[in-house]
Amino acid sequence: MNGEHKIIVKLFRYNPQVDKQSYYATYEVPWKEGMTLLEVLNYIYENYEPIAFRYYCRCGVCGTCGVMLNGQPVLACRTYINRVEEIIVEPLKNFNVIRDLVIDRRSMLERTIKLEPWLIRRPKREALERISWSLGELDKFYLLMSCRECYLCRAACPAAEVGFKKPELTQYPGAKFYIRDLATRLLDPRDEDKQSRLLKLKEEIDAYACTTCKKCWEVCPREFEIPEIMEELRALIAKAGLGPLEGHKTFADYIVKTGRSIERQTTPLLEQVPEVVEVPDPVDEVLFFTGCLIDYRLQNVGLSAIEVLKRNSVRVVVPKEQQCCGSPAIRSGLVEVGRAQALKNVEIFESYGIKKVVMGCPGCLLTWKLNYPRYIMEERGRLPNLEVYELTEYLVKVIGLNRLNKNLGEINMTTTYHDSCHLRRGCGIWKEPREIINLIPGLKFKEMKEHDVCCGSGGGVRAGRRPVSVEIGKRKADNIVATNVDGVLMECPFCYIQIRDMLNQFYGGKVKVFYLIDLIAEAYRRAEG
Amino acid sequence: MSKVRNVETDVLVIGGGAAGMRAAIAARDLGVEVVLLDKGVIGRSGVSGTLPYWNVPAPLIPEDQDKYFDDLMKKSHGLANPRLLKVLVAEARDVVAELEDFGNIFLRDALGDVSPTHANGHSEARVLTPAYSWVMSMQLFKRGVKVFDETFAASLIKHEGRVAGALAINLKDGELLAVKSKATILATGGFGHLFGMSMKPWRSVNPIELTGDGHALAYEAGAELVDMEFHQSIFESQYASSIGQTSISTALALAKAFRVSITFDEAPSLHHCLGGVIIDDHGRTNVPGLYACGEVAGGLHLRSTDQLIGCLVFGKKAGETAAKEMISIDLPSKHVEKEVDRVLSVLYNSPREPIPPFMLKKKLTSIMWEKVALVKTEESLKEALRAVYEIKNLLPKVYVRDKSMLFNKEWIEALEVYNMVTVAEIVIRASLLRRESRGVFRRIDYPASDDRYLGNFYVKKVGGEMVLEFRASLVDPAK
Repeated sequence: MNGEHKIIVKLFRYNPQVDKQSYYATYEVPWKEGMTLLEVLNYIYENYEPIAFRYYCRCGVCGTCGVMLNGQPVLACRTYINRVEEIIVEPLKNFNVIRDLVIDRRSMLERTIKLEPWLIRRPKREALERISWSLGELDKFYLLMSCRECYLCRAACPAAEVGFKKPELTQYPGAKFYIRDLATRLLDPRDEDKQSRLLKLKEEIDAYACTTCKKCWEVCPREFEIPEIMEELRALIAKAGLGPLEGHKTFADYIVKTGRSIERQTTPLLEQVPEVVEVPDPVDEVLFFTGCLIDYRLQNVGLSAIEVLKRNSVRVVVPKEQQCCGSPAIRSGLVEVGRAQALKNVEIFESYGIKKVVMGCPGCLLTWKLNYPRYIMEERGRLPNLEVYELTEYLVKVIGLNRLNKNLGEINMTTTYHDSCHLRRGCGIWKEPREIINLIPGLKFKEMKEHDVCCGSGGGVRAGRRPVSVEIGKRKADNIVATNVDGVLMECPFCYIQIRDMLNQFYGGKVKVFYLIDLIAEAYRRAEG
Repeated sequence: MSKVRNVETDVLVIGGGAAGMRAAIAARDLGVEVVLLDKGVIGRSGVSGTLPYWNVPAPLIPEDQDKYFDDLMKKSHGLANPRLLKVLVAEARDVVAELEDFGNIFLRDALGDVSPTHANGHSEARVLTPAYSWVMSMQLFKRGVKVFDETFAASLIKHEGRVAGALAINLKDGELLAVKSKATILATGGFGHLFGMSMKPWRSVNPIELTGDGHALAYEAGAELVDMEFHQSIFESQYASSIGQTSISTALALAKAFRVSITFDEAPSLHHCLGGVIIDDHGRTNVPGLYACGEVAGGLHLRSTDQLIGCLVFGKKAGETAAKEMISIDLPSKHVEKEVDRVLSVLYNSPREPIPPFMLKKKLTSIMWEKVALVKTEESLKEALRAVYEIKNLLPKVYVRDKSMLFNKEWIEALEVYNMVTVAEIVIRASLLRRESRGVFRRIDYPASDDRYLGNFYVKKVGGEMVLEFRASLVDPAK
């Protein structure tokens, strides 16, 4: 023990009755092992001055002690403070502040009441009646009922932020409102008001403004699988004939008609490459899944991916019959279209007798990893006999960093990296791309602010609710430009197109946009000199 | 002079947990205007609001009613009022079934029928689960109950011997509310935090709201309280079945076996109060215009497992009775002003040698924990009483550092300390009089039960003095 460690706490202070504007006060708090953020706040309250903060149960049930800790929404009572130098504590984002850390929950209560989250049925049945539903449904119902109403989901949500700052663009309030107040009643077999609840979901919640970015899932103390629930709800909206939006239907129509979700413009990748790309002394062989955007729009990315695999002595097979993964349909609630695509693609890929599938699109990856196993299990009673990898994941996990071909040329540039939601939170891949970036000589790397926040293109929002998408995208562009870099790297065709457009629209293309795979291929090419 | 917002209603409910919400619903269903004041966040407040979910015991078939009655009587060690328990077992099933109409669904078996589970001290499986506090809170809004949450009821105001309303502090708007009502229901919960700490070690698992405000308000208004010496710890609940008819030596042996517990540092912790404001089988207190339900109400002597059903049955009773017995009377402005002056003088007090309210609270709760909570003796109780009197003398020195009326929790803490001192005195004096050990009440110096104490201690303020009185139990112990 060499003296006690003190943490600097920068705390948001504001009392509208006294202060013209908010300010940050600084306090020193002696750190103890196992100290929670709530204890830190209480220490300030007792030893410095009576700051206003809200808490009741102290054990994560009442859900009232939510605050922003270093920009992340947390429950103060459940958050342990590490032995750090400094922390910043602010009231939950996307709320009006009553005083200091105390947010105004009243408008949230009003929204909740408007959703009528009580059981509606007429006439009344016998008490404690027989209810037959599966244990799975019951468990799900209980889980959703146990929402703590802490609003961390709202504070973390980029769409709710738009709703808070520009209510004319969307009324989207955050996950709690459909998870607890609508989904529970939609699950309830007794409820007789399902149609109006779906209408509320579409109109009052603006369900199509959710980019399914999973930020809410990341912060939820109950660990709700929120975007998946949103997709199930969108499927219910579609079933009831209330959705999806026009922009979404086009995708689904194209998939059904052509096998691709978008219109053909230039020569597709599949027509540019041979079915089998042979390499001398292959160390491995993989199937390559292109996805619609890489096949029809970003063919270069596909060529780069094949190039990178070749440089690592991997034999690449590109099945020519492959089709859209179905993701655009699934995300907007047209599950059956997605299911048909799963069956087709899995059958085609399994027929090659090669187990590993590599792809460069996180949207496809998530669909393959998350939805396909479920659909195939339901239809065939077994899992697909395939292992699915994103390219950098494959390079790091399968080839391995020591075996990886490091004959990379220099690229002199300062860059930052945007985490695609589907890749980071959907598939748990964020270390791998950074490990690869670190290998490229000359490349300087700077992390941007909010690097893991959505770009606004996911979940069909770019197609269906463009103004919301642009608002979220602009914030991303702001953060990229503020990082002061030459280029921004990413690995998702949707993010790529969205961020490129946003940087062009708001900053005249000030920062260049690169697909990470392209940059790796370029580094290999430069090595030849 | 601060502005006071005037609110008028038919029925006023103070407290937003299970009992208060159920009372408000019952009154509203009879077509009257209802205002509910909740110190916490509505739907997430009180013990019921901070439980992950509710377990509610109820006799599902009529034949089980007698057995449930016997279980409850046995668990009360002869101290419960059998008239109240009769009402409880007769009406339990209906109020539990209603929870499903509100939107809950209890566990079902393979056929889809409700599937009750066992609980400590119950001879039958009769606990239905889960139900959620927020579901009931939504019924308030569906029915048009006017809710003021994060609003602290500072005092009851009486006129001509009848409770005529209350003065409250609305934290979110930083304003005073003078609520005029034709009937007033107390549902403020227990006083677990009389023994607790806001931070580690907790010593009470209750949310920090549970400071016995309702007990103090009722006492000051002239209500009679009962069984105030009985409070249950987690230790108790966990080992109650193994202890059975508690002998203090077994309890001490267990305490020794769990060394941490004797250090009074971590576990066990206080979580439930068995006594409170005495009510009749309609939820009336002895003060005209004042009703009570839930943990603040006494006479049922319910253990924590059964408290929720007590909240629901007597919440409903109190709500219905209050709505039927409303009397329109004045809320005299001079009484309101007097109370306004009192709460503001606590806010603006600037004494020499100031003590922030949390310090006094800590001092009080430490004493209550160490000398009164679990294992006590004549000596420890007398020491505690002396200390409480000392703290009482320190009350004029309570200094609220923050003078803003907006979300000023420190101000509320100061007012809570006043209430807590009152309740502490009642608890200790009742504990001193009970020279035996019974149920959850344990005295080291009187380890055995003594039939001379088969009955209850009642407490009441008479002519400014605290008067305690013993009345023999209504049940025959031989039965």
